[in-house]
Amino acid sequence: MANINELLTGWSYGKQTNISTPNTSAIWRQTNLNRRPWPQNPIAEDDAAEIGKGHEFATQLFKSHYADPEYELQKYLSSEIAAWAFAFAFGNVVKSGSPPGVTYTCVPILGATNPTALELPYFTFFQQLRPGSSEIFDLLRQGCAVKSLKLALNSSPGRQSATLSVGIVTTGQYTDPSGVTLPAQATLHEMQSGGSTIVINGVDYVASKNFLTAEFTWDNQFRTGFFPGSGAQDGFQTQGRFEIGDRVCGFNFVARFQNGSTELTKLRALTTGTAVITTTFDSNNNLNLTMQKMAFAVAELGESGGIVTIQVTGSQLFDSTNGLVTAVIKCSQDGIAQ
Amino acid sequence: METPKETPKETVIMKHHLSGEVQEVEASPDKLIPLMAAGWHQVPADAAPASAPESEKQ
Repeated sequence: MANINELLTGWSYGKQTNISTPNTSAIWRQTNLNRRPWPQNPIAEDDAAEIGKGHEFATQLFKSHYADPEYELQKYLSSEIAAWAFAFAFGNVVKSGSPPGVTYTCVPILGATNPTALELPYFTFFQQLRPGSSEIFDLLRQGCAVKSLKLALNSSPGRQSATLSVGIVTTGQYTDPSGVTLPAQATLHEMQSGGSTIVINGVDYVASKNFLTAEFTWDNQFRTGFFPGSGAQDGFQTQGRFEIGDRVCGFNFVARFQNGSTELTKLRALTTGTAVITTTFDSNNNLNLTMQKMAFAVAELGESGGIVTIQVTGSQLFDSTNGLVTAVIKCSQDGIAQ
Repeated sequence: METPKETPKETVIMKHHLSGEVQEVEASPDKLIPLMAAGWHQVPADAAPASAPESEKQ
């Protein structure tokens, strides 16, 4: 019998040197709001479709592949998790400064100029339940990548006001037991939405006290990584690469709608501008997320708690100078994605 | 009274993967983002372009 509260989760903040070599040194341990362990999912196939057996039923099973589902790390927004998530999700990272104020400037890779072509940096992920002599499981997964992320700012108080969910995938390659002792819980600097500034398309929504919620999403839309030679473990094929597909950047927000609100006017005029969201713990721990050229694709009147609102869906355009989207994160953790 | 010395700005070394060009760049978002958006990547400091000899600086 094991209590789910015992489940330890850790992962490397440093990148792997390649998809198949685990990073067991630059690792941290963090809590996770997702209460489910990351399942392993070996897939078997049978011979039911083959004729000549005299009946339509399966007579044999065959090992096929590992198809572990995408796993979601669910976190309250901290400078550390923001730096890690955006660095691994976007892939082009510049690190400057030194602790306690390390700055990570992150932009999405360009396939043509990325040193690893369409592949993002890989990391190693650990989940352990009573590691040691009486382990229930102690899994090290190598070759993991960030597929998606969702940053949400809400009007509620407390930690729930700013969350970051990170969708991660694995090749299927693993080591059990990991042989790794996870470090103590990382010290995180959480940034709640009360300390945010939000300026979208020329409107300072904090100054006007009109902002309700915002959600930024990113999806790398990985292509399947099975190919001849991609690898196998236990006789099941594993994936040998995660290449970005047609990535999707989403942003929507809800604000109060009043006399002078400009969202509908800007939608009609196809006005574009930057959308800048900052969240702050202190001068050494903050996030600046900038969509470099955003128009409004949809602006729909609604209601929230009896107040008239406008729900806006952004249309992110690629700016010829500054690209699509940029995340600049300052935190005390050195070595993220390095 | 001494004039306070200006703190030197931190720099990073950036390289363009296709052209191979290397630049030392001030580590500020304003300077970095246009380069990164154009496909430049950070490389280790030992990849910095060699300084011109003093004799060539005249």
